[in-house]
Amino acid sequence: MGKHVSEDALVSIRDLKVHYGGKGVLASQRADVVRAVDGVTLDIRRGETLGLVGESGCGKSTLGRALMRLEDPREGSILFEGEDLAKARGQKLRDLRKDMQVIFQDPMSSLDPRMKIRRIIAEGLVIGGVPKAERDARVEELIEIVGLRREHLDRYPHEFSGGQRQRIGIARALAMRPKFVVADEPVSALDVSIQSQVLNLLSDLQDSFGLTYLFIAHDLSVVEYISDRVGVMYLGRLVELADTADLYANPLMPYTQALLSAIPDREAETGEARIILQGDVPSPRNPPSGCPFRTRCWRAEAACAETRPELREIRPRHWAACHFAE
Amino acid sequence: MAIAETLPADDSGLAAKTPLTVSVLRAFRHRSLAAGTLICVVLAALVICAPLLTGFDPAKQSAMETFQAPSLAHPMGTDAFGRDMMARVLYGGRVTMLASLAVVVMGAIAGTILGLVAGYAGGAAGFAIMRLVDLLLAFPGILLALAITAILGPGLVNGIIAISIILVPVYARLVEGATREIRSLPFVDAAIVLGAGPIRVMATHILPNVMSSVIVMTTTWLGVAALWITALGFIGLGVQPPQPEWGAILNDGQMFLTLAWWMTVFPGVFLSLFIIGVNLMGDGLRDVLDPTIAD
Repeated sequence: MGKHVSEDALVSIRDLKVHYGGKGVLASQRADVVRAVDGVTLDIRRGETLGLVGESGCGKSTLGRALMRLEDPREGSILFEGEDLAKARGQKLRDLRKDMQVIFQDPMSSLDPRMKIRRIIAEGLVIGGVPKAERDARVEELIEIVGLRREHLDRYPHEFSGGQRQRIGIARALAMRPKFVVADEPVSALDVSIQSQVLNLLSDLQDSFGLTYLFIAHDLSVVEYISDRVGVMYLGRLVELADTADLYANPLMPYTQALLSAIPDREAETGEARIILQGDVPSPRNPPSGCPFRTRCWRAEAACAETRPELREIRPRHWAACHFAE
Repeated sequence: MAIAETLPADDSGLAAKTPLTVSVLRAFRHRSLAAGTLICVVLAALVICAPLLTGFDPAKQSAMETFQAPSLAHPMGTDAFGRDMMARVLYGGRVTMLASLAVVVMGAIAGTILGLVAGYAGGAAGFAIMRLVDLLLAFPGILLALAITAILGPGLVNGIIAISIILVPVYARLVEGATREIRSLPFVDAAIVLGAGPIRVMATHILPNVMSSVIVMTTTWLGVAALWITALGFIGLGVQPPQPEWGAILNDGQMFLTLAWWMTVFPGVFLSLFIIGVNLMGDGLRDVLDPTIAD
């Protein structure tokens, strides 16, 4: 968790939409739109760890990728220190992107199998034109920061375990001295015993380098452990956002309640019965009218199908998108 | 012994075991690769050392020595003009082998560049390139080569150009597919976030990862290229007389097949050996470089 969280936003996302498809000659092609991220508004504060949770396919990874401009947003803006990243192109985009880095889920495919570790970590420095001597010194410093040894630099990725590879991916991201890091399920591919080591490394690095994290995960206990605030996504929308302790103790949105009740042992701890949701997540090609969750919600009423509940501040610092939240 | 085996591997030894040395080691254990390489190396040595092995000029005619059967003076006999067959086969081998190599190298370079660009760019540009490639692929290879040489005129260089054009779509399709696959991997995204532009990503990440497929493809198509070069030579659209080339020599010999078997058999055997050699090498390389086979 970030020790030096300030109130000002490092990243301000406004009504961000990432849609796939919807292009083509035929009317049927134009009508076929997948709304992966469908109007997310969110501030990420300097120095905090914002956890983002949700089921597979809810758009959390797409949101992370859109912040890096690995996906092109269709609408909305991403202000990074006041500059709009959503519309930047070419050199401008490259300059803005220098301050943001990403850590990927799959430690196997996130490192080029034909490159030695030294080259992998130095890649951003080479692109940035850092002289060789300085580069080598930085790379050697970085490999030790992430808990590996200098002699590892002359090996290839396949000689490392998943946890070690993830450390290498972290070193590569750190080489750019980023301010903002999107961690896209950074521990979900790792053994549980390795997960906590990598999580601790991430929070140590946050303290030493003043990093801001967007931490995307589906493991709720991991998110609870690392995050200052947590956002819950459902069907491309942010449906709840609050301080971690507040969200886990008093979830306001029925979907969040169901999600939290699915944590093993929570029933025994809180005495609340487990909520079993009916049905599947609706297709983002054809989302329901009104509230996206109404098709599975046990509290749904006629009003839910008519008007879409906006994310509103129900309690101080606790936002939820539900007509019944209070 | 048992204790030594159960000890954890000394990880300092790992550092020296790069993928390259691992594949070289594995390559030597592979029989068909070893056999193919041996055949090709011996053939290459023979044609390179041609001046040491035979004192005859492959173009020098000798009216007194036509149709001589193999003898000590002429180990492969002589042809209708009294030219020494061994000199013709060895010097001709230089032409055939170099020309086939030139064909695959040119085809590989052009096809790989097209495939990389099409696969990386995707969208309308990628679509346009690949449909053009499909158009080329729709022609039967040798017919296309004949048409191109008919336009450019007969000759070795034009033949090489014609056949390498046939190979372009083969490489382009292979590389396009592989590029699309690699482009979607996170290490490419990581490079983009680190600030790498498209050319850098293609050169440093995608090309090295498709290279092994391209090399395997090159060895498998080298034999086909050699056959096409000799086919063009055989029908007189490739090298022009008196320059020797295996296809042209075979054509010289076919008229006298019953009279002078050595005019056809020796170039035929050399051509077959060369093709068998490169095919064995290609098969072996495919096994060795195939990334799905674990270390």
